[in-house]
Amino acid sequence: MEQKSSAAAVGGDYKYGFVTDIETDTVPKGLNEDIIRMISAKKNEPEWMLEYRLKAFRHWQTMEEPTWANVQYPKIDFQDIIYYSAPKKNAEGPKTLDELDPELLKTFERLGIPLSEQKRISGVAVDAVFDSVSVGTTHKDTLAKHGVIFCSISEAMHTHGDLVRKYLGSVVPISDNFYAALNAAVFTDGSFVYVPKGVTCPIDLSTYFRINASETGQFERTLVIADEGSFVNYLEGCTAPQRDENQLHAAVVELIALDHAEIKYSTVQNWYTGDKEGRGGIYNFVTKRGKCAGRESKISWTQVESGSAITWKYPSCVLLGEGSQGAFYSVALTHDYMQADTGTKMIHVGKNTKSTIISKGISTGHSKNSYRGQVKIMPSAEGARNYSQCDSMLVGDKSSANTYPYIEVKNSTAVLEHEASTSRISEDQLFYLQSRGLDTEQAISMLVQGFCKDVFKQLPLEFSVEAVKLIEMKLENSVG
Amino acid sequence: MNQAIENFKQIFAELQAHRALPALAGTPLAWLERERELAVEKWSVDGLPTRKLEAWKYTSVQAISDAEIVDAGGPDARALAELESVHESARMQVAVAAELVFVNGRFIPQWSTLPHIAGLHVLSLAAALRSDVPYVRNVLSAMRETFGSAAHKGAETAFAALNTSLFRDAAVVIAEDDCFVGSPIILTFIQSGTASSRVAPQRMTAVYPKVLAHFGRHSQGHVIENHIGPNGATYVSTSLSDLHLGDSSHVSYVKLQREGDHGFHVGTTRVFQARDSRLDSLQISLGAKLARHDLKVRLAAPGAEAVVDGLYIVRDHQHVDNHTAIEHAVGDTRSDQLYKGVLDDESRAVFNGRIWINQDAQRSNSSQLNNNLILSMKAEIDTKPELEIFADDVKAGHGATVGRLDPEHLFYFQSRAIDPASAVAMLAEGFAQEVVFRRGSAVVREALLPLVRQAVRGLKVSVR
Amino acid sequence: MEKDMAQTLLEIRDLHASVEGKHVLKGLNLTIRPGEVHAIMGPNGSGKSTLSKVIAGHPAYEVTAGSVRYEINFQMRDLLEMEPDVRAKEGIFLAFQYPIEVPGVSNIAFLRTSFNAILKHQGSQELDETQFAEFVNKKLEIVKMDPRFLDRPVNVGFSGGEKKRNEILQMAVLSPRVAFLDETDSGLDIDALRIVADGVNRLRTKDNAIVLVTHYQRLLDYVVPDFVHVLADGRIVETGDKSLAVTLEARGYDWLVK
Repeated sequence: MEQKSSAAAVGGDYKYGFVTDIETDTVPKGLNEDIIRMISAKKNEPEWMLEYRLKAFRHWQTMEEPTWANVQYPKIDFQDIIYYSAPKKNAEGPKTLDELDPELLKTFERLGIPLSEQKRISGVAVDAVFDSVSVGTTHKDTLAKHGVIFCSISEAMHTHGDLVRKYLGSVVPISDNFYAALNAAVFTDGSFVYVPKGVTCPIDLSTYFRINASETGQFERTLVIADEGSFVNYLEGCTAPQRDENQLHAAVVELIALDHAEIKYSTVQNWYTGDKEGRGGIYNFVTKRGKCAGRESKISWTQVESGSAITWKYPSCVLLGEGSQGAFYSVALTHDYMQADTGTKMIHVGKNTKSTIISKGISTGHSKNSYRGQVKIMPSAEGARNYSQCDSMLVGDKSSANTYPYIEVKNSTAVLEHEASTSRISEDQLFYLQSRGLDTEQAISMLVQGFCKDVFKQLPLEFSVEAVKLIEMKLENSVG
Repeated sequence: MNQAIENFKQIFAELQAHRALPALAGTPLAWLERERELAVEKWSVDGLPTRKLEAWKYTSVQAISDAEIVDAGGPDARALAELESVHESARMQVAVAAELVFVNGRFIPQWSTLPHIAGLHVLSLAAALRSDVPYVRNVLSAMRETFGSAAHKGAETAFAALNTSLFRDAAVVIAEDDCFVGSPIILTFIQSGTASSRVAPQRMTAVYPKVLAHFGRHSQGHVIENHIGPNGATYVSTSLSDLHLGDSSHVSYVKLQREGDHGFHVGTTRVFQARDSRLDSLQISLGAKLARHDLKVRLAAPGAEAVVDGLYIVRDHQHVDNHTAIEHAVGDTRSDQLYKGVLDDESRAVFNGRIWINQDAQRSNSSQLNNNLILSMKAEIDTKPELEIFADDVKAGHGATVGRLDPEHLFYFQSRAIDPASAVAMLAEGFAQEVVFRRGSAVVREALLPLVRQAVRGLKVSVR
Repeated sequence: MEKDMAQTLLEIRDLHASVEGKHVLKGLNLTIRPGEVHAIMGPNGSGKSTLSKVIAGHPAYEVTAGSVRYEINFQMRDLLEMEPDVRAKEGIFLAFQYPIEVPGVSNIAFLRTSFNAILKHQGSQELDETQFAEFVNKKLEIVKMDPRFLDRPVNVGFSGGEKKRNEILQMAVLSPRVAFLDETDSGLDIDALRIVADGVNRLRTKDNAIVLVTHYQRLLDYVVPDFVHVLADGRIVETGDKSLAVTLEARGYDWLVK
């Protein structure tokens, strides 16, 4: 089945809202076992993978869509979604990135992610995912020299089947939640990373997700394994065209850190948010979880959430290894009619485990911004420590900021501190900056950046610059 | 539907058949008769809450749901004689403006002291309904607007609904405009449990203590609710207290819960605050096998201000759950919460504080803090300080801490010849009494400090 | 022999101790008799604070070898067997280098509980609030402390100097037989140092002993010691009289520490 996507961009301020006109290979709308078999066949998957998908699908059918988040949206018709859409390939497929469809290369270039050998960004290896599939990965040769595996998960299934089979679903099991089960059944691609023992990954790794086709859901799956004593810095970016209808993005990301390994995972999420009236935009229902399996291992999540119509996302850490550490740094900016229910879970299992949570929410317009976080100290987690700080800032009186921390302590040697505050930009602060020559927008932007500083400083430099620009741009459009 | 609900239905049917519920038609509380019917619909349809409900996530009332519920009878002379020692331990060492004593929800005049202050009415519901004081009649009738179900839109717990359906009497406190009451008004509710419940532990007697309080414009007073029962007796108390604070009134409210070690206390306090009123609330939870308090404060007019504090000291297998909900309905309102807890043995504490700041509630100011001190390895704490903010020009903050005694503190005390048990008691008392010192009234502070001192006695520390 | 023993108050023999797995004291010997003032000096990390903590019985410090014997009713007893509060009841006192802040517990309640615990241990009548207030007020003068400090929580919001004075006030109230003053002079300005030193001198008797643990010679200008010991790498490497402290001030520790 083939079709040409042709939805027109609806205009506005979202600079990534364009649509690429490209021939695609899609499956029919709807979801059943045949569709899953079809997806699996298209990807020429091993038999165990198909079994895994079918098991997930059967379980998903017994589950109900969660309703506890502080978000409202019309019921999703899961039969009205296309579960697979890929840019059409020549029979052979491109051998190098330069042989990719020029339209695709142009698309990623417009998004600021040049893929061709000449133009590729030095210092960052990029895996580019377009709708349902990975279209290419840069810097593969450099990485291979250090033994680092970075490729699409579809490729990894064939080339490193044992690793994928061992770790897929080991952090987020099929039965974990409604969207994770759906993802396990229909995921089409995503990135796979394995950093061998003792290796510090020489360059940052990055995946860039692009939804292009209409009526299509994106269900990618990312798996990052850091073997003993290794280190990796991983970045993730995402955009989608502007469309009137909502599109579903239900990804699953699993991180595994073995003894003394460290994974830093950063996201700048800029999916299309819908227009000023709240029409369209991405539903971003994502399950991200890291397992600090080894002693003294570390996982940190840093996210700048500035996109999507609805965000439902709780990057979490399961701290199993003795002395392991989890961290969550988040800035969530909502504007117009956006709804974000985001936060984290820190599950302390091992002794002397530590976690840090810094969350900054900024609500403007008619948006709804909720922090929801759980810190759970299991009976075995002797000497566990947690520090949480959740601050909200409201701009305008039509938005809301909510904070729902769940703190559950089952071991009394634990020490926990949770702080939260809600405030607004004070007239005095604004006046002070204005009296020093800044206009209102500059002043607000400066104050917001100050508010978010503790999170931005966790991002790699180039990402941090991008995040600041993004927040500035969004504020310009939403603060009058 | 479970055993308890079936029993409550039978109890309600029998009381109605025997016309044993207070006759309210034709009284200023006629509206409450209609509420009674609505409340029955609520608990008989919804049943008692289960842990599937977010508000009951950490607290199971299965033991109540499964129990065979018996309506607590009014005490005869012999029962009163048996309860004399409980009554004695309930006494607070303080001069009172008035004290009403109820046993199993029935007014006991011989144990009560009526007030002699102009403009202050402290009396049983039965007496209040007979009162021909226009002020009293007016406020009872006007309470419909603030405490009727229309004002609360069915948001009450099944236990509050049970109280509304099945209460037999109530403590009524009415302070007229400009009335100033310097000494505490004490409302003591003694639960007897029954002899039969001691032999059949799955059987629980049910009591429905009720308070209706109204403080008029510019009035001032202190109310201490005092709930107590004998150890070993199985019972469930579903108390419901409604407090109306008129313009510029200032009310200090203490709810002191010292139920018996097999008692269940599932209570609700609802406060309505008018312009420039000030509430100074303290919930102290020391007793009961399981205690749950829901405190709802509505800051309904500008200038309203609430200090909402709590203290729980639990040990053995005690379970205490404090839910607070502060609604900043309008602007220029202020709330300040401090809940502190000390947990020993295998006890468990839950705190859920919800601050809700309405879209129009600009310039509201709200803070909330929950501090927990855990002394043993097996105690558990679940704390959930929530903020829901819809206005931008507000200051709101909350925090929670969980920690154990600092071993360096213990060592410092020991190096000064103080043995570990005394050191724990002193440190726990130091930690706990902060909420008592936040009371504005010296009389109230003096009445409460000995209780705190007694409650920390015998705490031990098993966390290194 | 019997007589010699009776004259010994505290006897430390070949003491080895470690904290957090680190071996700090490595065979320390020290004998203290009634009426003596000892100064223990030494570079940072030599084990000065560890010695004080071990004597007071801090649970984090583990004695791995050696003995500490303490004279009680003319008998030498094993101090290390006693709980920290029992040691205090028997007259061992440690003035902390960093006195702990204790929110919620008033200074006077703390002092009275402490004092009464010792009285009770001695079989004496405990003092009630009024009697104790009268007793403690007389002691305030020794460290020139404002009575208002008594009603404040223990050490909370006290300045560094006020905390140190509060420690000496406790010493004045509890009348210990052996007092270890751990860096009591550190962080004090000259006026506060004089007040503290004057307090210590007034508490010096022929029956008790004082051990000044210090990094600097400064305090010793005001409280003149009978013995000066140099502690290095967990052992006493040199003992002399007050002139040793002067030498140390001039030459530093290097000549003693190879």
